[in-house]
Amino acid sequence: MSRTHARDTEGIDAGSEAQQARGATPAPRARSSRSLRNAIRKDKLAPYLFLLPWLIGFFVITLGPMLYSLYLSFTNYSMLGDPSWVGLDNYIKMFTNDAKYLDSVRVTLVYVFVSVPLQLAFALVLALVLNRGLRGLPLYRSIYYLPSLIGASVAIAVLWRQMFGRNGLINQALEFFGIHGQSWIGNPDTALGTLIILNVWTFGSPMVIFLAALRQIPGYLYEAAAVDGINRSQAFRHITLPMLTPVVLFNMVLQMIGAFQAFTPAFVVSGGTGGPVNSTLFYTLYLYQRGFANFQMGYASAMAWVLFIGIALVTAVNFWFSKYWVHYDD
Amino acid sequence: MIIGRTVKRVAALGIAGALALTVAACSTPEAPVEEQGPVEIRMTWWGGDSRHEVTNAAIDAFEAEHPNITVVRDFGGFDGYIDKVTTQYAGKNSPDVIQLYNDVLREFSSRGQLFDLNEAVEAGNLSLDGWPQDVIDMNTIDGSLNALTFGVSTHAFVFDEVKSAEFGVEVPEAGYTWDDLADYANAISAASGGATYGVTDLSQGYQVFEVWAKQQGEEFMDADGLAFKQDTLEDFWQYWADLRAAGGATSPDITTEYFGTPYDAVIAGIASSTFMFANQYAGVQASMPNTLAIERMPSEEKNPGQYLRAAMNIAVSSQSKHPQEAAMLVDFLLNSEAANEILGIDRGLPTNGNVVETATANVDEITARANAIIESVRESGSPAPVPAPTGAAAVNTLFQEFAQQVQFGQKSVKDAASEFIAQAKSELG
Repeated sequence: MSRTHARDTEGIDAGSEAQQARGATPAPRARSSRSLRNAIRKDKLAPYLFLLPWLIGFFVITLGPMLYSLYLSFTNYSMLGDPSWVGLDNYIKMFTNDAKYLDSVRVTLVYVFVSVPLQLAFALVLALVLNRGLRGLPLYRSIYYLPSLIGASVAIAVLWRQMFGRNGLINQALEFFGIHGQSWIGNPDTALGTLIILNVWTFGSPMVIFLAALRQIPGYLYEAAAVDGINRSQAFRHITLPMLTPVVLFNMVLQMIGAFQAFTPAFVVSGGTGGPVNSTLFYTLYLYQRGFANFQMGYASAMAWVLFIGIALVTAVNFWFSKYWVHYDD
Repeated sequence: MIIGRTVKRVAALGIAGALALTVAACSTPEAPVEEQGPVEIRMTWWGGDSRHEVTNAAIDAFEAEHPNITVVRDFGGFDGYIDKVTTQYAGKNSPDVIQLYNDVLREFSSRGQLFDLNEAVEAGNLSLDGWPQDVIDMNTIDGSLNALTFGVSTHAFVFDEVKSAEFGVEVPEAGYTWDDLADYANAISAASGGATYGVTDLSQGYQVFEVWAKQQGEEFMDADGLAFKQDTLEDFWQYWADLRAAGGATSPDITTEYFGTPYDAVIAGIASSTFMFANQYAGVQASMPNTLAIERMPSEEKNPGQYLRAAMNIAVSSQSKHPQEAAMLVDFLLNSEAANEILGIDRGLPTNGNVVETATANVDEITARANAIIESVRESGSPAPVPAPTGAAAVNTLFQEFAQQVQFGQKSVKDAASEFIAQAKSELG
């Protein structure tokens, strides 16, 4: 909304100035422009005043540091000395001379492309179950939503560490069946798996959105289909799923962006190392290590910008592909 | 397009604002030292609750002695500690007095971020009376005294006496060798049927390898970089590979789980012996019922590799507006009887020989055992290594990574050793 206003006022201002400069101002046009300006003075400044705290926050706390980090990404900066300009060196080193960086990219891609589809599938299945008009629905909805609220917290990551440890709950349960488990978080083959499970477990927030979307599907579609004699699975395939696709896209984009930036679980579960043998070295964790443990804030800034561009590209591809499978009902 | 222009205009304003802030932050004037007016300085340290308690009490005593100086205390756990300090440095808001660990001391000093304590010595605010010259030399980089040792300690090996007795295996005694340790570990694992490992796998412990290398007359790192033969590292990693194969040392998944704190595996009863630093002994012993025997590292009889090691250091920031007052606090904490009586040996033994007795006056029998180890190294130890070059922290991490790849069977000992040496060299430039 605010954008439209900005365009209106700017456009008319610019136009009238040009006309004044030409010395040929048609009277009616000037009057309408003046009344618009009055309107701005009276009503339309207020929203900007209300927005001011956010605007200050955005420009001073978000955009300013972002631009500064863009500058830092072209420098060698230890945080203890002054930054020195090195051009594209950081970016070049990342892709040509840093095996660990490529490890971290691989780990992150596996994490995103395995955990997000699984999480969405879980969310959808549970939303479908809950949509059947269960008694006590609000209670179940809250219970399933809870992990989303706390899943990214340090406390849960600590709990995960305990559960999947050598003597953790999982192994105690396995012991009951006579299986002698090893440490799940201490093994390079399974450590990332435990983090994927953690992310899948936080399916609550996409689930709630799916649930809302399911309620939005008009009943007459199913009624009409029932008249035509289709069965349940056909109804799901030809009505429910297509009608849900916009929400699937929304959830997917949001969850992927979140997964790319995951940090806390890996940091806590691996004790900040990204181990064993870099198997849980998330991109952001490696960025953190470079910046704060190795005193290479310039390199870390460059990594941050590559991540930013990477996420933007993946999101763009998501939207581009969406025209082949997302069905908008209009 | 018009929107674009507006956005650009506002963005330009934002950048200008950010720049103005930066410029303002850079031009903080150096305030002269005020003699009598109220002065506020900030000290930061990491530690556990017991350290916070004694440090706060010691600072209270300092404030009582200097009513015009207020000390703001900024303390917490070790996680995230150095991130916080460097971030504060970057924001030109560093603490005045900083507790620093060895690995990063060089990173700070080589970038001119530490106040030359010699200036405080000349001004009469800091005394070096009772300080061994080699410690002062060790902390002097390019003629500037960057830090002072805040407690000395040394390497140690601990054995769970109760578990050992339970499995009928005798705890090694002073004079034992690496082979004796291996025999002990394998015997424990065999007697317990694999329920308890004899020793935690320490192949990723660069501090352990440091002692191993010194026993061979080499160094892990000297001022120029790596200073050991590849064979030496291969022997070390092979020793642990053999122990893993024989079942004496913990399996890789367990080793990973107790990566940073192997003594937790001993507390949990998963292993019956491990390496630690002597100043950690009392705290670990307090968290478990079984008594722990403490010894020097194996094979210390002929060519000792252990040395008196700075457990941590204390330094004054070059950003400090009141470096003299900050140095007075350092002087108080390190040299005064009053402070050392309160601080005890939580950070290791005091380096200043004059206050060792005060600091250890009230120690219990358990702590005395650890002190005996430190004292034995003071008598017959190896000289302390010179400060490692910048990039040493990254090399330590590399060491751990390659050791882990050997543990999980992803690399042979030989390949890992040669690749580690090559990468470490490039890391050290």
